[in-house]
Amino acid sequence: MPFPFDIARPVSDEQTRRRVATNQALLRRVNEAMRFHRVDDVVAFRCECGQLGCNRLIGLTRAEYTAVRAHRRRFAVVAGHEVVEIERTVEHHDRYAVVETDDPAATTVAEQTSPRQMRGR
Amino acid sequence: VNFGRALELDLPAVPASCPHARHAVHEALSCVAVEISAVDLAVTEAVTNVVVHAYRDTGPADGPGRVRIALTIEDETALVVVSDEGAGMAPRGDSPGLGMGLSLIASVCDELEIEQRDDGTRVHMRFALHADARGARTEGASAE
Repeated sequence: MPFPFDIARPVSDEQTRRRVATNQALLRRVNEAMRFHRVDDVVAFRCECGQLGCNRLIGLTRAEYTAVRAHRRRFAVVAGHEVVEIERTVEHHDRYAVVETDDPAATTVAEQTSPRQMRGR
Repeated sequence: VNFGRALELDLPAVPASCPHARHAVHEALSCVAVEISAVDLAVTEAVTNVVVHAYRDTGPADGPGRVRIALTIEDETALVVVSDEGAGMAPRGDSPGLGMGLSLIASVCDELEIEQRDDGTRVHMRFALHADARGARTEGASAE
């Protein structure tokens, strides 16, 4: 299904790639704020695709979310919300997909804003 | 510095409650040196989220639902908690809005926690008091 937001726009220049990556990092910060009350809960998280206009939620357990966050360059998105110019899909699940940035500009943003890295400073 | 609970509001989850809540929190923080524009924005977005999303599955006969806002000055921060008793956050494809509310909140507050509870959602937003203000308030408290 085509994604009707700004994924239709080309993510061709570095500024746009950085903008999408910055949005992804901000959404990761939102998702880091989600609190679980039970270990086996499926909690709603924001799709981390970084596209303007995407307000979709995805359901992840604590273990699923922690597995994504274990990698600084990985983000959980709705299947089909991948931005192929800056990332590739590395996992497919029923409720979500996991992408990993491979564009240099996006990777820099993802790594520098990683909450786990910042906590380690 | 610990000033405790500074404000509690219990409002209907209707659009008019967004400016109401923002003005009330703004006024309550008028003598506190905090980044007030950040608080204004975050409170507006959090209350708007409740109005738009929290009670979307309830019928007109159920009324608009409630949104509660609590402001506490504690531990050299201003803590604003916006809570509702709605359906909570759930994946769905027909959710209205641009999806920027929580991102805006995350970008302007110093700490953010989102509790998805069985009885609703609570958004905890913490804003640091300015360093010079902390000293001023301490002196003021000592003089009282």
